[in-house]
Amino acid sequence: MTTRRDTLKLALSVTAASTAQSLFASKTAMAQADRKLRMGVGLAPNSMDPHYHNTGQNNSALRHIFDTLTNEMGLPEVTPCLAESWIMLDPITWQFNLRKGVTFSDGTPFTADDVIFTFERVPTVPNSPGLYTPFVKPIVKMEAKDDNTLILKTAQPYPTLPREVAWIQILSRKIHTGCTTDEFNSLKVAIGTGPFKATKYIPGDSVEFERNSRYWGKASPWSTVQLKAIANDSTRLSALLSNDLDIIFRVATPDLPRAESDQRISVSLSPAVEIVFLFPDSTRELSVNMTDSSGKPLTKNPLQDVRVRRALSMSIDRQAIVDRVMQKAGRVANQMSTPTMEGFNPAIPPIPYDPAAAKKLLAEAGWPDGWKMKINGPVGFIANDDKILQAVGGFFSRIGVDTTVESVSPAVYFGKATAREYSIFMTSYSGPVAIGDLKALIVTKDPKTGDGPFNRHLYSNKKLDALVYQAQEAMDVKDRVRLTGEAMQVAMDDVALIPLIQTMSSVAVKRGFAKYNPVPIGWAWAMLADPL
Amino acid sequence: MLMYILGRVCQSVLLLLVMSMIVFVAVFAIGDPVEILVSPQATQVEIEQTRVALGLDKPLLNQYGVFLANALQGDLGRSFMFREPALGLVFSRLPATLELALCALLLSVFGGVVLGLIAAVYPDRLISRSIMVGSIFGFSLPTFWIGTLLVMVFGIYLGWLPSIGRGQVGEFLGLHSSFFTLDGLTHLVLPALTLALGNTALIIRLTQSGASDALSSEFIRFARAKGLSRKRIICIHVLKSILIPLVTVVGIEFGALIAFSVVTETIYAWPGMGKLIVDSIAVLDRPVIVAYLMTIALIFVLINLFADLACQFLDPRIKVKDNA
Repeated sequence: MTTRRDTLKLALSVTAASTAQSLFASKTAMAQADRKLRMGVGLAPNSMDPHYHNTGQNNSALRHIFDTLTNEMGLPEVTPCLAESWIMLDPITWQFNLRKGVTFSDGTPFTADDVIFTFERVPTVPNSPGLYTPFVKPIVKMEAKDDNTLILKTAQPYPTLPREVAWIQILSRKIHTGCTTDEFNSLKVAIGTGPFKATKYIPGDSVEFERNSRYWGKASPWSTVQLKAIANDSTRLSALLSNDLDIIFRVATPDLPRAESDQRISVSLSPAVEIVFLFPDSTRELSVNMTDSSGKPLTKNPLQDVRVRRALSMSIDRQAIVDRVMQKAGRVANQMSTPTMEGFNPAIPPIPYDPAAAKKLLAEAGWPDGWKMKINGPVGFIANDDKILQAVGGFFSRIGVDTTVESVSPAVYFGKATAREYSIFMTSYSGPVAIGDLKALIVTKDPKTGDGPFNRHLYSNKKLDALVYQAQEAMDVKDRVRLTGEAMQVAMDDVALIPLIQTMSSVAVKRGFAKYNPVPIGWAWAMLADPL
Repeated sequence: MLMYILGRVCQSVLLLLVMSMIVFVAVFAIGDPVEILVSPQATQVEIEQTRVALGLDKPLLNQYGVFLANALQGDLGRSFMFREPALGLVFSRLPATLELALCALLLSVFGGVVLGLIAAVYPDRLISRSIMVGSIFGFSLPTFWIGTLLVMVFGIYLGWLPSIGRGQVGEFLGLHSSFFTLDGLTHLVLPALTLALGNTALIIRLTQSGASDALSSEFIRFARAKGLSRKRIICIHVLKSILIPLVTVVGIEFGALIAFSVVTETIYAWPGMGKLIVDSIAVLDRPVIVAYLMTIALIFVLINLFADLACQFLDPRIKVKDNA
């Protein structure tokens, strides 16, 4: 693990390799034999069971071991993985043509039946803090036509099925029948078809992988990969600078200018799928945390008036937040989607920064002198969240809404947000498609269907709901994109949510060591790192 | 003697009970773990399922009852986050923390006693004054600052020592520890130094004041008159007389090193218990928080018990009372 030993090893292996080349002409094989990649991330996976807990860090880390049918990168298209191609036979029937000659890392062949086993296992993993059930729920019937052909049937037309299955990592019926999460965690059955095999797992700290020689795709140039979790952004950067890591994900924005000018590393920014937004309480007659200038609670909720919400949105100088608070590691957002996502509506105009017009709007709505308000946000959940909220509070105050801000730890924050103890709160949402943002955040909350799980202010808009459900069932991608865009337009016209910024992912690599090809969804994958 | 130990055991059981109660109420008051654990794609149905799966749908009193019943059988529950037994998770991190604390303790005891003695024996020399002034810095500089500085200098600027994680773990006589590999030792240096600094300062001060006191006392003058060598006087007679306060302090400090290595472990991404507890608090992983605090409390109780017994052994005049 020491840096010098590594360099020495690398040097030795290179020397050995060049000797070998002259003798046996097998340089690549030898050089490949010992190439180590050490990656630093913020959060470690909390299980080696790919169906235990649906979180970004698990989905990212476990994909080194397990494959999925399709690849979701947060781009307009999904790409093939274990499924080479797929076709919709009729609105509720899909055929997935699976790759031939794929085996698990212990030699067990992969067949269509394994996919059926996997999808059946997903809802049954016990004591999970968050199952993958939403992704397989639309499927009502599965059939293996032959070893490489899988037929999936859904109850309703479900055009985004190829996207949903991208989240389910495939296990083997032969190996994994009856396997518990504990057996995965002990690495006994952490056997997949992916490019790597897990060799060590310390919960909450690190995972180590080695190359899977049976992998169906191009063999990874990295013989071993270490994925180390360092929660503190500065420590992670120090570890890169001191050569204890080769590549790190997320550089804290205050460190960005210094990191960018450091000759030892190279930093790159790329757009992510995360949108930071404010959720105003537009539904309650009387909200909380709002008083008149003398401190008496308001007798009506100003946020119910769309003009007030628009005024607040227009009062925010988003570019200033991007430039100063985010050190350019972000982009101005005008909707709950990013330009790379399916369903982004390019016709929605930018939200103007116009405090004078905002003030006028407030006066029109009957609040010429504003009111006093407290807005809330988390600390350490989104990059610079507390500073963004402070900036927003400042902008609100400038148009006469005397705003104080309160930022608390996520552990406290989200419970209170759901309990509606806040009138305007800030959070972010990351999802690969625009319709997902709408469905999670502002579609009418329905405990029966499970829609609108994070619609914490219980926003409800029939027109929006209708468009979202229409979009969800639209068979043609173009229709889906158009309908999603229309739904987004409705949501933005009503200022149901106030989008602030789109964040950027940052990756820093030891200069001259490797090149990382980031994807919008933010995977920290050794598969995306090319050695130089 | 037996009664004394028994009394201590009863005390600690009560302590553990009260502490588990406080943690339960505190975590409940802070927030809802489910809100943090569920994924953005989860629907309301899954959120409710999660609540049931973690047993958080029941009233708090009920949850505590279940916890107590299981705890009596040695089961402190499974981590919400990792689904592994909470106690097992804490124990799996214990060796890394113990190793770090032990290393820091050895550094601070040896460094502190030697430097303290030097300062006491040659009170007027420049080196002694530097030691005493230095010890003030050791006291007053916060760990996180020292840690960051050491990383900056030795890790980044000079590149001599690794600045994150635990190195290779070697095996010796069935024990797994990074003491047994060079790589492991190099990884230990910076975190152990960071952790040791404050304690070294404390021990320097303690040794210095104790030793200068002893040096001017009757029995040392007598020993000198008897013609004993200076070396023997300092290393045997003086040292022995200052050992009792030292042992007490070292006992407390060792517990503190284990419990409060949190900051150091965070700076160096050291996979110990401190890092585990920080992460667990962030996601309100109650079983792990309870298991950690209970383990720490137990360690404190045990160390203090040993320190008391050791003091009695070192100075027969001290008697532990049975009704203590």
